[in-house]
Amino acid sequence: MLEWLSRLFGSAEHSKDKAKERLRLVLVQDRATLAPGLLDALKEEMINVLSKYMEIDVQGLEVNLESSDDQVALVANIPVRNVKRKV
Amino acid sequence: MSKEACIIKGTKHGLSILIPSGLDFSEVLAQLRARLASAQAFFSGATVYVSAADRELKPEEKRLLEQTVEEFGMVISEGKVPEPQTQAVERREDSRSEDGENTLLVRRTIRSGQRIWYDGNVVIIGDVNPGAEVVCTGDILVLGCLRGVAHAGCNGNVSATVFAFRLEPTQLRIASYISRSPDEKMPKPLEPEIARVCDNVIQISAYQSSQS
Amino acid sequence: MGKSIVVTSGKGGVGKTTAAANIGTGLAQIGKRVCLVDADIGLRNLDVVMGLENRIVYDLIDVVEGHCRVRSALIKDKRFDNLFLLPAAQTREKDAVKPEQMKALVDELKKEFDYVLVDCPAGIEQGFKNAIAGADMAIIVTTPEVSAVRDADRIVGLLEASELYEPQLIINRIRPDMIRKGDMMTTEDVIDILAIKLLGIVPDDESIIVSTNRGEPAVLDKKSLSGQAFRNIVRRLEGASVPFLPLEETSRFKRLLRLFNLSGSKS
Repeated sequence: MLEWLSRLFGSAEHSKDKAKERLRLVLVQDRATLAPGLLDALKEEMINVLSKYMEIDVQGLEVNLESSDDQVALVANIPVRNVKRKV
Repeated sequence: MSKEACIIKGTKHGLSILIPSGLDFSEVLAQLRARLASAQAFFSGATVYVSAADRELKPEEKRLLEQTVEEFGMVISEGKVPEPQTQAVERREDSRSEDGENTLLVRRTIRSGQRIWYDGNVVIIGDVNPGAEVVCTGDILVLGCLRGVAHAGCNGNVSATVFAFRLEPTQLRIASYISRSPDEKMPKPLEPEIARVCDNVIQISAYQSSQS
Repeated sequence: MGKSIVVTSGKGGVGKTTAAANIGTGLAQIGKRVCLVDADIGLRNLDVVMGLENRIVYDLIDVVEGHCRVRSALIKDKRFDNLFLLPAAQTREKDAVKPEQMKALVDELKKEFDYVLVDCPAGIEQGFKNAIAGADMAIIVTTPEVSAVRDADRIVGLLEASELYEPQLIINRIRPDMIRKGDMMTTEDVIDILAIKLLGIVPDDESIIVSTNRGEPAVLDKKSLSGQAFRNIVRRLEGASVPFLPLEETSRFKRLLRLFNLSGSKS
């Protein structure tokens, strides 16, 4: 009865809203899933570009796609050994 | 582990005995005998392909092998081990019928997507479900319910027949004649029926044992 | 030159085959020359839904492998002279056909028919790749469920990767009673997420099961609500602008009525 009343006044969360929310989340992840090899290719190109400006620790380089809530972020951890000075 | 002198493999087409090279023939024979003797009832009646891998068998050795295999009630099949066919076609027994034609005996239900092809007659102890297909050059006998497609005499033999305890096929074909089940609901057959070509059409009639 | 349309979904059991049968029959009903192609090799069903299973002699694989010509494999419908079915092979596997072969086949059929409708198997593997190979357009069928919509989204992406753009969506098995209670995603919810064009909404309808039992597509049943939905879809495919069935209306008036009914029954 209480449930019925609360539904009548629209305060309870409907299961379809839950479904939509979960679907949104899962799709964010699905759509962000990269083809295999793509991340490695990205890493390599990043190293090439960055190496023009600074000396980086290639071994310690980490590039990942991270998703939290409804956002996807490219997180890169790049240890820098030395910044090249302009000659 | 000592090297096995022979490997016996069950395939869809019967049994395969593989004889590796590099072993003394008498030892091969002894081991084969021991293996066959350990399960005589199982091997009896099976069709066997003998494959010698890269070993060259002398005619006399070959004769000895055949003798041994036949001693245990198995039938040697000439030629190479056949490639596996489209879908599960099990050959349980391969016996010679009186008129010299081959007959395939299948002891299971043929389900949708399965297809049996055989050069000779086919006897099925079980049902043929919708979506399954039985095609052969001779007669088809279904000791059960035939609901799928049956094609008897597929090489053009118009005297081929299709028999079933319950004959309710999706489609019947004999030689180049085709008939399909009627679109309207039909009363289910209550007795064994037989289909044959009469006056250029496939006719179904109740089976009477006095018929040929 | 006709148009080829693939009916696909990703997830199984959402009503692809039923949709293909109904759209094909509906198009034939308004006089179009239609060929239905069952691309679900090994698990054919379109023949049964159309009630043509007892007429099959040759199938798609026979055509592709050159055992017979396309004409002799085509099965004419019981009801319409301008509707044909090319059945799938039941005793073979999906990899018996290659996408190039499917494309050549569909291209050949397009010369003879106004519409070539390809019923795609569930999944995203070989069978899917074959089915979409010759398609000019895609219809995606989904139901208002999380799993089905997720798979539909995946299909949109895969179709784009195969250069099939602007797929159209059919939302099947809508239950107005559940939508009213807020327990089923609405058309808007689904479109909001997938962001593709809506072709039609089809209510969950017992008459679909009855018509499948009979082998008579529901689109021929004047009284069937889902049949009406498919007739509307057919008209939209032909370019007409037809309003969507009022399945989801939640007018205040109706709500009030329900409220009175409820309080009345309690006393």
